[in-house]
Amino acid sequence: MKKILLVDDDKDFLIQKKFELEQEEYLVETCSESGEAIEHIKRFTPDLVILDLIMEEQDSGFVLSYLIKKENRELPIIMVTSVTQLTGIDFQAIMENEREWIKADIILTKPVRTDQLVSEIKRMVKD
Amino acid sequence: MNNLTEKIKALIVDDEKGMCLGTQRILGDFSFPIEELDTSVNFDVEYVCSGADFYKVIENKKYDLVVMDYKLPDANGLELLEYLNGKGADTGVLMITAYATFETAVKATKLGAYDFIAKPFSPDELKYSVMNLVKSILLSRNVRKFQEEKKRIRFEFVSVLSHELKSPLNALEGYIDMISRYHGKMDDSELKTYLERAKTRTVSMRKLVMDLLDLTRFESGARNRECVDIAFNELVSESLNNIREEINSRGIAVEAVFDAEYNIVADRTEIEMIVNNLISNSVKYNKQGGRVMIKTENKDGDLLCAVSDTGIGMTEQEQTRLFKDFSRIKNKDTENILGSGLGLSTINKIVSLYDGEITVNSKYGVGSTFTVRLKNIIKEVPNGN
Repeated sequence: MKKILLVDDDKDFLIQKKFELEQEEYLVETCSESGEAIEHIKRFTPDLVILDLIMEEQDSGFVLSYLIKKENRELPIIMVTSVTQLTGIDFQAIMENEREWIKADIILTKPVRTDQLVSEIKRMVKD
Repeated sequence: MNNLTEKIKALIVDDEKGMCLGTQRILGDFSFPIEELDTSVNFDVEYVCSGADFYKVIENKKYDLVVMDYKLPDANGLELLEYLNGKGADTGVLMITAYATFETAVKATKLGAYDFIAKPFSPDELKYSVMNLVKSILLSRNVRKFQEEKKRIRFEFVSVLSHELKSPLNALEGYIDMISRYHGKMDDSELKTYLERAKTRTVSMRKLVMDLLDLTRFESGARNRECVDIAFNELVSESLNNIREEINSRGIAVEAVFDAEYNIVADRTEIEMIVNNLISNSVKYNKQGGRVMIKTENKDGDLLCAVSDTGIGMTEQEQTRLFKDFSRIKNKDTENILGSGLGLSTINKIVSLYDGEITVNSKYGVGSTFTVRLKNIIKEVPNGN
């Protein structure tokens, strides 16, 4: 069973995505504080991390993905955010140079549809 | 005391070089204060002697002030003025001519020249006209800046507000989707948990909307303020009674210390909002079985009310953004506490109506004390304090 760690300070997002991904046969753990995520990853050794951009700080997600990739370059990261709706700033992680500074493999906009999330996970984490 | 200096970039346009040099010298030595802006003004003066040169320099540089001769050999002052207006330059124009007639004066002012002086003029006449013109330019620039700032703040507020409204909607939509898709795979207790969470988010969204209405009512000044006599101690007791149930269910001990009977003159709704908010926060953000202490005192006619709790407290960094709109401290301790992030920012605005201040003293994990100081609102202190 593939393991997924969800990091978000939005409790409802954690509850919903944990339940839904468990229905899709993933082993899911959640973490509501970005500061605890690195330790959580060491303990849980997930195959993929889903994290929110804005948590305690505006850029908590950026900082966290940077730290994750520094320790574990190959660990896939999906960043979810409603920041594009909030600020009108549009950014993506499609081009190599964008991934270089964003350090996430893909960015999805909230609300995230579960089927879309699952298809992205399947693409990044092969059984 | 003038803290700032504004250097006005001035251009003189006159075909008589002597006039240019004279005016340059007068303005170069001239400086005056604008008290409203806490600024003192001085000048950086250049000159050109023909219409052709005017067009050249105006292409490359922006001037705040143009002192312009109406009659130039190769151009007419009104043409230059029109050209300047066409460029949309934010430049004040003072028209000078030896051929001052009522007609040209009217034409020039219609085209946007601020003032008109006739040759020969004394240095004082020139200075007087220039001073008025510069004041008008700088004040209107300031008003514009203020309006733009207002627009920006409003935009920011609306952006954050829409985010705050969207996030409970996203959560609700998420639960609806999840339940309709997977309800066959949920047991009753799971289903109940999800419905309860959905309900909580609905309640918090309603709170946000209500708080928002309060905030806008106070901010817009649309509320009619009515200052009446208020027995402050009683008002505090009422406020405590309103949330007695929550106080009891969380086993919180409340102690209210009044060293006197406080009668104040203020708007009742405003004072209630301040007190209710502080007391409710001290309970909401407290620990199970914690304490709340309310202390009121008279400080030189000002009412000082401090509400302390033994709650979760805040880090220094968290305290810095406490009074901003929609600012909520998000961490494990607060994730189950409902709040809109508008309470303290609203109180802060109300307190400023009383020329007062609100301060916070907090230690993470230990507790917080919020102190409100309301200026000169104590009516009488019978105990002779």
